[in-house]
Amino acid sequence: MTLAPQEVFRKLTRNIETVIRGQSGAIRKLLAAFASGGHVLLEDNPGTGKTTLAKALARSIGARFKRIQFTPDLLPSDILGVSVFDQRDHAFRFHEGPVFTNILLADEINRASPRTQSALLEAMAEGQVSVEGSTHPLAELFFVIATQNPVEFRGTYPLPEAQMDRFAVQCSLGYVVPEEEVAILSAQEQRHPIDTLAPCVSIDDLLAVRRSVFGVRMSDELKRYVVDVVRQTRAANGVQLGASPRASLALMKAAQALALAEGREFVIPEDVRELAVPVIAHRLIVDPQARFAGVSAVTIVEEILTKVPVPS
Amino acid sequence: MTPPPLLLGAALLFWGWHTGFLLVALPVALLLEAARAVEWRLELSIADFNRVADLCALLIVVSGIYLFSTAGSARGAGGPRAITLLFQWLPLLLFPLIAGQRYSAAGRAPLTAFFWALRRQAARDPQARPATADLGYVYFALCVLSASAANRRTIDFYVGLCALAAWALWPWRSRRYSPLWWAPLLVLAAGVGYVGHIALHNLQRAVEQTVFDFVFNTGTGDTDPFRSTTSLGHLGNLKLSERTLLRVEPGGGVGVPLLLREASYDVYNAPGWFASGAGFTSVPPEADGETWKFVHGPSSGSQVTVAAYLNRGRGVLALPPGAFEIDRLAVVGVHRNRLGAVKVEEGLGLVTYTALFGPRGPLDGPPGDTDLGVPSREAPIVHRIAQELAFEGKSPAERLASIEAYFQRGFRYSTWKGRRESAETAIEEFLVRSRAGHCEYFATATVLLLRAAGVPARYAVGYSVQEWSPLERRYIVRARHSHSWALAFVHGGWRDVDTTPAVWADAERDQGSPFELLHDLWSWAVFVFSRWRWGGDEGSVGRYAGWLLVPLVLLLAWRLYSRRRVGHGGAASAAAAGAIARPGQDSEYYLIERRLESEGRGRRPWEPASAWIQRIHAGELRPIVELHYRYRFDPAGLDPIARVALKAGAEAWLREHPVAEATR
Repeated sequence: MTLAPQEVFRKLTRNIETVIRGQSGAIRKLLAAFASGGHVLLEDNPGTGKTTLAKALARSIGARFKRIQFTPDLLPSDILGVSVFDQRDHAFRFHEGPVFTNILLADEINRASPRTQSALLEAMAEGQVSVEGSTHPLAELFFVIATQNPVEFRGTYPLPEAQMDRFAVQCSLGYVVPEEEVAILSAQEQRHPIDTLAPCVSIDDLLAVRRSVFGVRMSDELKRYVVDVVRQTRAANGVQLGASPRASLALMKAAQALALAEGREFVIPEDVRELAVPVIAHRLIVDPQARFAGVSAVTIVEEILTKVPVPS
Repeated sequence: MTPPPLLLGAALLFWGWHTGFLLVALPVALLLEAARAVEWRLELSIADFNRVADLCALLIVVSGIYLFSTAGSARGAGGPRAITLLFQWLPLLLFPLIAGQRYSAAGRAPLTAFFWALRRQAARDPQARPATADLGYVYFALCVLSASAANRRTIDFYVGLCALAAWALWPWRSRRYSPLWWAPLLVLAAGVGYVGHIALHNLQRAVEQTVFDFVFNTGTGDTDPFRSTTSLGHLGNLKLSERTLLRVEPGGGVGVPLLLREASYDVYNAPGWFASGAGFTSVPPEADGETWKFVHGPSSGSQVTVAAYLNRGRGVLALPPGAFEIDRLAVVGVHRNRLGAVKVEEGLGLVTYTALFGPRGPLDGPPGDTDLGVPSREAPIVHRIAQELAFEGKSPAERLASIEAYFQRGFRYSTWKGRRESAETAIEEFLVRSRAGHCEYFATATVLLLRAAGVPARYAVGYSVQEWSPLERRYIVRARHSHSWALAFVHGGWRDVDTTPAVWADAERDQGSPFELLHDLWSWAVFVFSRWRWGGDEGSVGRYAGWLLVPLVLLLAWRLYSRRRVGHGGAASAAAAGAIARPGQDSEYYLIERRLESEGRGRRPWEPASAWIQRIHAGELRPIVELHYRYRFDPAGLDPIARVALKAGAEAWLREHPVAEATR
């Protein structure tokens, strides 16, 4: 017997919030992307709880969880796995790498070489791993949370724009209000609450939620609104390269998942608007000159949202 | 930035006072300021503003053509006058714009009205709101500028201007300082401005003169009929420009090269030639006002037509030898002196005249004592050569022939002069040592030798007509064709004596600039424009003005056509947009939205309903919005019961909010 989708969202949110405080917005977006089958990139300053959030999500689900700490000398085989010669069988046997899991935390993804990054990103896009001529399918529930911090540049390899497009959602956590920060201190006075975090939903529940997302209805008018917003990024001032149709698709799926989280069977304009920035902004290539002028991808998308009339 | 009350009205009255349109300015100012008194406003869309701006542009163009064709027909500076008048009319011509802004609900004019680029941008992106501007201060500045175009040059203009400027600046003064500081500083600024404007005026005169000289003054340099400074004794290379000065069309039977004389001189005092006793006497015109005769009675002879620029309407005419009549010369005054120079006054920028000439013209007066004088400095060398040539017992014609023959032997043409012994004169150096020089050497030496031989002689300056321009299909005379020669009195008449070797023209041509063709094209364009501008018959400008209207009409037709096309395009895109299903348009929620909009609490186009009701603190609308959203955005639609609930909820809310009713 699986839980109702809304109940799954509610339970997961409550469970995660026992560990991560004051981040309900980020958790909503994370879960929407998770339910829509997309992957998430968390970009924020060190110490804001990116890794904790990822671990809390993984622990809340009774699922396999692996974590890879990305370093410059990490090799693709460290992620995908390697074939080892078995002396007994006189044959090569494939040893699965950490990518064969349900939830993968790719910590500080921008520290690995582009070669290693692309090995992971290929797995994310295809849902399978090709090693030495044979193809190994990944688990049905395969979700990547990657983190990177934007302040350090030395020894990092920024993700190419084309690969940023593989992440459905990019969100940041930001600093919490002082009261919440005090509450974080109090909660960790004795021990970290994550140590006692118990799974609250099963893999089956989550797969059911993912199936339910497909059933969420979306009117043609709202699809048009999604397309209008995405199209505007291609003509906006200060943008070198706008968002692709993949962005429209991701925005629609995430909006459907958000509607499901709200207990609705149809998408409303607010769902689309809430997710437009985290889904679209990281895919834009901003003109360097505009960037010097203080324009960022986020402000561009926000401005577009104030220009395109919303269906009402 | 909105101007303070009554400022625009005052500026308009100021404009009317100075330009003499006070009777027009008064109602216009009243109309403009009445906008403050009346409540009603017009709902002018961006397209309406664009149309008003187009109308104003059309008014300006039509007025410009009208003014140019009417003011241009009068002799004199018609074009500048037309532009000045048009400038004076501007506040009236642009009044529709400022009135439209004043009486519009928006109170500001969109910038698309002024820039086509912005209109195109707006057409591409209909969602974007165009930038707007308040035209108040711009119109104020325009009124003051147009008032200045009346050019009354009185102190009251400046005082009025300062008062208006103070009025305009008063609302924008810094509140940190007392007005007691502000007022004296303003007076100081006005004083500095007064001094500055006098300096600016002087600067403007200088710049105007320079520009005029550059475009129209083609370097004739206003030949001075009293004095000609030569380059005798000038060291180094003598170089003249290829600028075209005259355009010449000789009549039948006139041989080329032809010498056109501007002036002649009788007294030599190195390095200049002077005209003694050469006061000018006025020549009365014939009945038609364009014919000037120097002898009475009908006469016939050869003719040559010359087109020349005049510097500010004045100049000395280049005339063929023996000229006795000038036809079709559009000037007010013609004067001549005893040495054959003809000066004109109050002409147009370009004159085209036909000179009739015969073998013995009346212009050159009879020879006098000065025509035989040899300056003491040059006398020894000249008399020595005269002795060598042995004039004794020869007739004047023979003496002339021997002098011509003398210069053909061993003299060559050169524009280059090297170092000269300090003791010798330029003529001595030329005759004895170098035996090379340019036309001024040859002419001066010839005159002095002729005089030494007892033949009255004068020094003449003018142009040699010799270059045929295939481009213009007529002879052109460049600055480098300027020439000097001698006049000798033989057989009871003056005749030209040109002893300069004929190769001089080739030598000058070889020094031509590689950009000569470009220069000629530009010069020709200026000439064609000048001829059109100052062309003879008075109706021509009006006729051309009529043709100017043709492209204007075509432009308007194209604009109308393209606008219609845009209209069609809009309809097509609306139809395409209609292809997307928009269910639930009959939702009663829209009644609420409209009601709140009328109260000034409307939803912004990009604002979703939930954010809106949160902004206006109308949380009670949440259930209605939820039902409405289901009705609008759920493809499965609303079940009948919920549909009734939506209707009932909306109507109940409308009933419960009679406050909105009252404000309606």
